[in-house]
Amino acid sequence: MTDIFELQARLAGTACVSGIEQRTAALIRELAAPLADEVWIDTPGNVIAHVRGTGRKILICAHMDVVGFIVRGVDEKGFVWLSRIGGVSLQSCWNRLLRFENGALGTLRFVSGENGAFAKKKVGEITEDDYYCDLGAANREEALAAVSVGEGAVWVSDRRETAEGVLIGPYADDQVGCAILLRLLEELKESGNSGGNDVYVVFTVREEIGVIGALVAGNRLLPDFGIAVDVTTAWDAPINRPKYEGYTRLGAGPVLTVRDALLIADRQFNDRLIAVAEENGIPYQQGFSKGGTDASSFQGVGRGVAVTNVSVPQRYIHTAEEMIARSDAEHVLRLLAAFLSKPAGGADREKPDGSDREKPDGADGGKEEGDIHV
Amino acid sequence: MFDVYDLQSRLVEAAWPSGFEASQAKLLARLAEPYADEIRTDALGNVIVRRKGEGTKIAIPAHMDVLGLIVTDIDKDGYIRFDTIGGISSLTLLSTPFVFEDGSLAAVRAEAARIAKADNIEDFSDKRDMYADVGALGKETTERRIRPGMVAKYATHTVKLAGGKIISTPYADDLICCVSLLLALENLRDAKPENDLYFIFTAQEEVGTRGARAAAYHLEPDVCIVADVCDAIDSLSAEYPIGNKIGEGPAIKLRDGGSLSHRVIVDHLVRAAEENGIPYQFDPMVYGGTDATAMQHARGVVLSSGVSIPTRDIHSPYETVSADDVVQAGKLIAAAAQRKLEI
Amino acid sequence: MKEYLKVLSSLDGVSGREDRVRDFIADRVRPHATTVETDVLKNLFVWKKGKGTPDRPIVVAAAMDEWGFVAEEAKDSGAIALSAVDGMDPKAVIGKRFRVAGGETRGVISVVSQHLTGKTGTDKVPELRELALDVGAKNKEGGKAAVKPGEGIVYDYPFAEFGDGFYRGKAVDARLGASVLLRLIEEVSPALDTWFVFTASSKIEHRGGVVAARRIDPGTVLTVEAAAAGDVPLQKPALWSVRVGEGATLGLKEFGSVYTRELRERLARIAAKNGVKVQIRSGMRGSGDAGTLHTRASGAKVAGIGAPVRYVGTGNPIVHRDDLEALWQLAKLFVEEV
Repeated sequence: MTDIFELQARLAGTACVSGIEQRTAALIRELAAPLADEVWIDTPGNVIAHVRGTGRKILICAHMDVVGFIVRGVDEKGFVWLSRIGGVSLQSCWNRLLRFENGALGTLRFVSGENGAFAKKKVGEITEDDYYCDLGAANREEALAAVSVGEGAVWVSDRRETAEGVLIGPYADDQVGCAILLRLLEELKESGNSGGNDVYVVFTVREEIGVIGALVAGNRLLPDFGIAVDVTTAWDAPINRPKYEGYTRLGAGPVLTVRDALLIADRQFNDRLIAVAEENGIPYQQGFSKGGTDASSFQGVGRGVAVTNVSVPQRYIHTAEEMIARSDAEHVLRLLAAFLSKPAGGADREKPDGSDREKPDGADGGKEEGDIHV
Repeated sequence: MFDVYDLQSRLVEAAWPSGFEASQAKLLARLAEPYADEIRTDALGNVIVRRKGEGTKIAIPAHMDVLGLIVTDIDKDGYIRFDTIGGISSLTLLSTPFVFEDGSLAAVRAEAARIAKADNIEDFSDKRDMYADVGALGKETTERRIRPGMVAKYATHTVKLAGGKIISTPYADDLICCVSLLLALENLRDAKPENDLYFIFTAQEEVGTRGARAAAYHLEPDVCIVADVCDAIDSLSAEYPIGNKIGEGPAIKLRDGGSLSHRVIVDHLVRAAEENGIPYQFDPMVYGGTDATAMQHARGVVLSSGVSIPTRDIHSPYETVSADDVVQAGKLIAAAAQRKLEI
Repeated sequence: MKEYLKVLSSLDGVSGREDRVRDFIADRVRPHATTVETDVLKNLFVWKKGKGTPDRPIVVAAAMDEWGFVAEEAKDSGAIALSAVDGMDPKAVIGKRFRVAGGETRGVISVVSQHLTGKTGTDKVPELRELALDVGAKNKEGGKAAVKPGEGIVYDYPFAEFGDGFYRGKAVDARLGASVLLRLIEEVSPALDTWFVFTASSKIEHRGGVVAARRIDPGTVLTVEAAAAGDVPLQKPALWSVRVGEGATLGLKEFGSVYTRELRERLARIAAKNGVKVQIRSGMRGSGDAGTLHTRASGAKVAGIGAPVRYVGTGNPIVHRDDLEALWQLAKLFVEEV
């Protein structure tokens, strides 16, 4: 079966920002097609892979978009002005190399201002007019021949895995999640066992700018359970240290979110996953994050969904050198596979025989007119 | 035929910071050897390539050392503390990726305490509160590969922009001038030198022009034509009001932070350019010293000037030059070296 | 090593006025050296023939000058104006006892203007040129009679052993290297011809070193000096540089030098083979003679060894006898095996 980091490396070549996920989606659809009963791309661009079952409907998602920039405009000297997409860390907004959708390269710089004005600015005062991209173009015409307004750009940076299995490089958020889900599909196909659950593996769009793709998918599919597979802050580097013990660390296992910026996870669901982890000897952590994930967007759809995140702990989120551990990614995979290997059963508050589960009008979760078919 | 992009990439991959230049010295010696009459290495590691001629002794230095980090400590959790080798500002350090001698990759980060106290960007990025994380999982795992005294360099690579006309690369300062020296040597291959020429790839320039000083003490040249970069101010990130533009030819040095060029040598360079149809501009650089400074102070009288490559964002992990400026610089250095110079 | 350190650190010699130190060392080494020479700047050059001859000269160097001041004119108040050598920390000298070099006249450093009292500026550290030496004179005549302009002014803290094996004393930091060199000349037969250079004016931009380098044109330089240890509670561990009790120090880099790795690793190997404790000196803000000695002539490979010393430059530096002993062993091995 394919190595998770190898899958992630393949996805890295297609990485692009929210709203411009098409290349990644095409690659994922190609990889997922032989692994699921049906695979399609919906209107907003989510890739949905369906492994049929008659039991509970489970939506597991990871987002395809990464943070980065898009082109706002080009000035007469040929310098490119950008807009940030998603929570790009400010520290990564200068002295970096960018790759545009159509292959052009340019360096990100800060505008130094009069007498070193830039360095004296307050962190909160930095705007999009304080950095720009230099394509090496001589003038506006040459620049516009290389990039267009609205074109996306992402960082170019080295990737490296250490002997201890720590991967350093860009786009771990959330390409590691996509890679884990592709591997999950491989495992479900190989084992032939998804616990009878009706599984939808969704690769979402536009998470970084408002968890929009997931909302649409959640609305259409109306699952019983939802798990977002994303990354979450590991607090163990000196950049971050909290004052209490037991905070999320790199290498200490998958993180079940207690709360993040947008979500208080479903406690019973978390408890159930903890039980699965303990039964199967899988390490886990319980985490707090200042960011948000797709899970929050579909918690409130239909009659409500039991949601949580199962995340890979990561240092330096939204920078060009993100850091994750192989063991954590593999444990996330193990946990998801273990959860799916048995029927999910009801959420505690429902009738155990599932008789209360209705299908809302016209929404059976299957393909619809206008969707792109495999 | 030497190619600018190819040479620069190879030098970048081989280069390590001041005091640790063995790897790039070896590569440069190997590349220069077919074009040399004599070649030797001194105690500081300078590589001295001679084209023998009668008459005026001309030293042509370009430094092969680069900026970087040196590991000072590994803390109890395995994070790396370091100091800089050469002038990398704290702002440039922040969030920049470095590669260590063993291949480990790490971006430099700022501690939480510093971020909490910071008011502005400058504050935010004080070097003493920064660290490097190679994937620390405890002190022992880091110490398996990293020790105090190891060095690190920018983990960026040479790229072509604008269809190949522009090159953005770490260490254009001063490897791109090592390239221009190699191009000059190639241009002079079949010529019989009219002056006594010493092309010197110097060591430890970034920490005080040390290699050049020792080399000049020993050699006692009459003239120095230094090949270093000069500030291009044709971008919004430029920090000085005076400087050059990329793509308008190599710059003939009028001065730098530590030396004043001599009229005789400047005129010699101008005439060499004009006689050979080589475009040029003038380098009036106010800040920053070069090997010319050291050579002027080493021992006896040394008249100096230089052939500079205008470069954007000097000392950042991506310095930007025009490929053609480098080609022209190679031609200008060769022409000036070859044109008989009487002092 | 105690006697060497005691006797040398007790001599008085600020930068530019190292005569007493130089003359003492010259007399001591004459029976053991092949040649003993001096120059106009007061550097001392001791050459010992070895069993073999190196390709290029080998220099083992240490500085002779200590921290202190040179007296200027007496002020109207009777206090003596002072001119400091490089690296003096104004915070470290206020209230400390000083003595005229070679004499018995003593005084305390005070400040002329009222920075330490009053509502304004209680936190402000005075600048060096605002400091003056109070010799207990009542007026300008009294001051003039007590101290002549141009005399050296040194810390007045005699050598002592204290605590659990520590030495302290006014120039325990500044003469540490010289004491090792003195013993090397008296006791060790070098493998190769070796220059032992005692430099002058190291605290005035290393002027002695510049001249010494040009005289000898070394190919290999080893400097021996105190390594400032910051292992005190006020300082963050990452910035300690070296720790007392962890052995002799091997330098990485400082303002004037990037120490040659090959030499440093060789020293580390020799130390390991012979059971000598060594530590890496990670602090890089010092400035020793190594810089000038290895770059001011044709160029040399360079290494710096030392012993951890706390409170360098304060008049009460302290070093542990075990670290000093480790330094001695390392220096001896270098000269015997180089």
